[in-house]
Amino acid sequence: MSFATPYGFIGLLAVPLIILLYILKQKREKVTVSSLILWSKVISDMQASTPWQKLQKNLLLFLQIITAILIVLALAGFSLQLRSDAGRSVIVVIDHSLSMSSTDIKPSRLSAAKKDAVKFVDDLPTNSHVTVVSIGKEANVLIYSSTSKDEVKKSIESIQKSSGYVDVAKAEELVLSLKNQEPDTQIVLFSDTPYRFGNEQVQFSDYKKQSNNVAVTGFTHTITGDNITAMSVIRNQGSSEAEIAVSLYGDENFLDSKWVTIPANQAKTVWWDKIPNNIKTMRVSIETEDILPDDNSAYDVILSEEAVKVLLVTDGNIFLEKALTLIEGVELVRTSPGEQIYKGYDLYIFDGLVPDKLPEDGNVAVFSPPPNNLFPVGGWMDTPEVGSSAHAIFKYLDKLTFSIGKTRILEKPEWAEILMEYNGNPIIMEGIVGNIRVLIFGFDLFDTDLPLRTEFPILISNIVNEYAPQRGTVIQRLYTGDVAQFKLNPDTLKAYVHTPDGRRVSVAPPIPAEPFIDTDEPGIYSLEQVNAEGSLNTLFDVNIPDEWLMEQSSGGSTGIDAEYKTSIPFKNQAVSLMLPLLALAVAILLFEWWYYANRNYA
Amino acid sequence: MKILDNDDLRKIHALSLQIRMPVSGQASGNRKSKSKGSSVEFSDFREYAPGDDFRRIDWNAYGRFNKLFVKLYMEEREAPVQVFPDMSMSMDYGSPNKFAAALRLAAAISYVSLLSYDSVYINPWNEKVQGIYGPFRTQSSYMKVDNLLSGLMASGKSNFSDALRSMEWKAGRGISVVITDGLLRDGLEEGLKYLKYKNQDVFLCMLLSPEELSPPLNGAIELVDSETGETVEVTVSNALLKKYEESLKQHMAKLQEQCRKWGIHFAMLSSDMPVDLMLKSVIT
Repeated sequence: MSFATPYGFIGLLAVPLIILLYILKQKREKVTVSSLILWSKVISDMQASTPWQKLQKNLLLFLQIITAILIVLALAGFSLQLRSDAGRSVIVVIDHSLSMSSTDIKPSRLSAAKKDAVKFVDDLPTNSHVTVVSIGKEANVLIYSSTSKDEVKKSIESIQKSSGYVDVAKAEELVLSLKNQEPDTQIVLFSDTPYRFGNEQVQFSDYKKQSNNVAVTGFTHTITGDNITAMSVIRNQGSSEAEIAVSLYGDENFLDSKWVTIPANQAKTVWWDKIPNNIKTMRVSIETEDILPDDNSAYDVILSEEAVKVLLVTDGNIFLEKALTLIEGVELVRTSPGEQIYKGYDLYIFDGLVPDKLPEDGNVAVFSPPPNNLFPVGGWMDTPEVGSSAHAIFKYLDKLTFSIGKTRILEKPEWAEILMEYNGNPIIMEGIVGNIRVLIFGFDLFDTDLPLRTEFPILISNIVNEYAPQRGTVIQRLYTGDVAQFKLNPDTLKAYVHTPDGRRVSVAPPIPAEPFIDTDEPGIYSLEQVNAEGSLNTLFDVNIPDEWLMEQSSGGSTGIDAEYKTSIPFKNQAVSLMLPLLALAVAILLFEWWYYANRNYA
Repeated sequence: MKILDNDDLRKIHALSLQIRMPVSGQASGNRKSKSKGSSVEFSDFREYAPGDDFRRIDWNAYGRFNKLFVKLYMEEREAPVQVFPDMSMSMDYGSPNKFAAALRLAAAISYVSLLSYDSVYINPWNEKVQGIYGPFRTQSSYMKVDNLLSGLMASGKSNFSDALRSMEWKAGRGISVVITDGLLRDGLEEGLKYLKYKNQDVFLCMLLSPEELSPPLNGAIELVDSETGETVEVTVSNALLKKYEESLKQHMAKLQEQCRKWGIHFAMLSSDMPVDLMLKSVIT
């Protein structure tokens, strides 16, 4: 319940005036009649001897007072908050994504949203059930269906800013599943983007005042001879042209700076040439202040392209040999079976054999394994056409299908996982023996049409990238909030991650390393692998994803598209009752007129 | 100024009061009396008793029955007509004025009564009877009646019962004509009953002005009672007027019903009626 113009209450002075008019005796014309006998029978209002008369039960008086109050309420802009009903169930959804750190609302959008959410919870009826959900890269239920306002407020206060963007699908799935559990629940969203949750009605509190933010949305490099050329993408998310200073730092030393003018809502690519190749890390930063400082920097690590040493043990497999030699940075050595000790390579590929003793310094891939002491192998079985799986070796090979004439009947050992199977028989398996990763193909390449497929070199390249240790450590580009899965070197005993803010986080043992999730801070991270001989540091960068790209990929999940009309701005929830009040006042006046014309004194 | 002009008198000349019961009176009149006497109209026989006028013995009957019978005759006597015009202040109201109309009616009744050789008494009353005027016996005495009536002025409150009780009554039957507006706080019904108790053939003439039948009032006014000076504040609306008319009708209907029960002639009159019409309404 609220009043837009409380000054309208001055009009309440009319009420005592009306009462005064009723208690003031009306001056009447005197008319003499022969007798009052008949009149007395039909008149009940009798005179009093003072200028005041007793306030009588007069319907007209009450109607007039009600009319006056209604008009005053209308003048005062009386409105009702729709959220005032008792004992409700509410899902409070708070967006703590990167954009909520924007400072266009002081101190930040997130702080304002949290404050408003706390106030919203305070205003709820005492027995309301409140669920608090934070949405960002992950969607989390912080407290479920709680009636304790203190607990709910604590959980709201505990929400911290995150560096990722909202994963709309995850947020929608979580909120809808909560909503399904209690269909009467109301969803209240505190965000700078009107996300939609299915077709559910959402009470939306908007925290986007401005959008004049410029962000570094892409940063990469290429090594050209003795120099490095870097490319950075700067996106102006604002609605007006931005002129900004952009600087490049190498190993945190200033290298270069440029003035860039970017039109509204556009991206511009900024090239940096002739960067000396002796630096290990680069940072590009926007020096001009905007509402969101967190996305003003991007980081890049320059990895040394060391050659991967691969040993192919085969009686002759032209397909494998050819495919391996095509891969840049692979130093391939081919040998025939018969050696007893395999040592000194990053990756061992055994075609048609399994050594009695596995190498200790590199990972292993096996094609067409004969019976061996590592895992049980039976006879052959016919296999029809098979497709790809979701494993990393099938990266970029979503549509791969190939035919296998026959494959070994294998029994899955405890240490292995099946990547592909037919009728319960593993075709491709993977596992870890000691520190060594082992990949097993049950078929001979000559019994398949796989080498004839255009995808074959990619598959082999994937195998090398995945199983050659230094390539597999940190290859992919990581974004804030991503999970980093390290593939440690086989001889690693301990591993740590050094974060940009100076912390050292242990990730191994156990081996294989636990997924590293503490990637909320953008910057240069370092993975330290400790082995018997010392330690090996690998740098990797974590950047903020491109919000624009994220929004494009989430296509239509926000309320920006025209169809989403169920979102109600939170602050406009109050329903103005001015018109109904005035209509009621007019109705009462009409009734009063009718009553006056037909009143009955009996 | 005469109450009835010659035109009025001519119109009512032919009218005579219709009465159902015999009355008692002293002068011989045009009415049948219960007193058996020496009139020409035979009434009954009865056995001779000592003291009877032996001139009235029916000798033919004696010849037939060998018993002495005397002939009884219905003596025709005048009917004493008591006129009770209400002279309270409430009668001095309306246009045409109710009191004037009441006096005209009283004059007309007196006139036709005198024409029928009845004796007429005029008993104007308010809280009490303000004098018993009469008897007027001859047609020529009508002028006295007219003079008397035109000298009357409305005054005071009305209480019919008290007025009658304060009056000196002569024994015997008669006709009583009560002319009033009926707007009495109390005493009217009691008075009527008293008249019946006094063996009167009662005519009640309810005389109201057009303003009372349908008040030309509107808006917020203060009503003043002409008799008591009491006031009542009222905001007159159509609905209220309707209610008033209903109440008046109810009042009249109640009075009429009681009159019917007691055998009282009831006439509802309006002060704007011509006097002959009023008279007709009373006697038919």
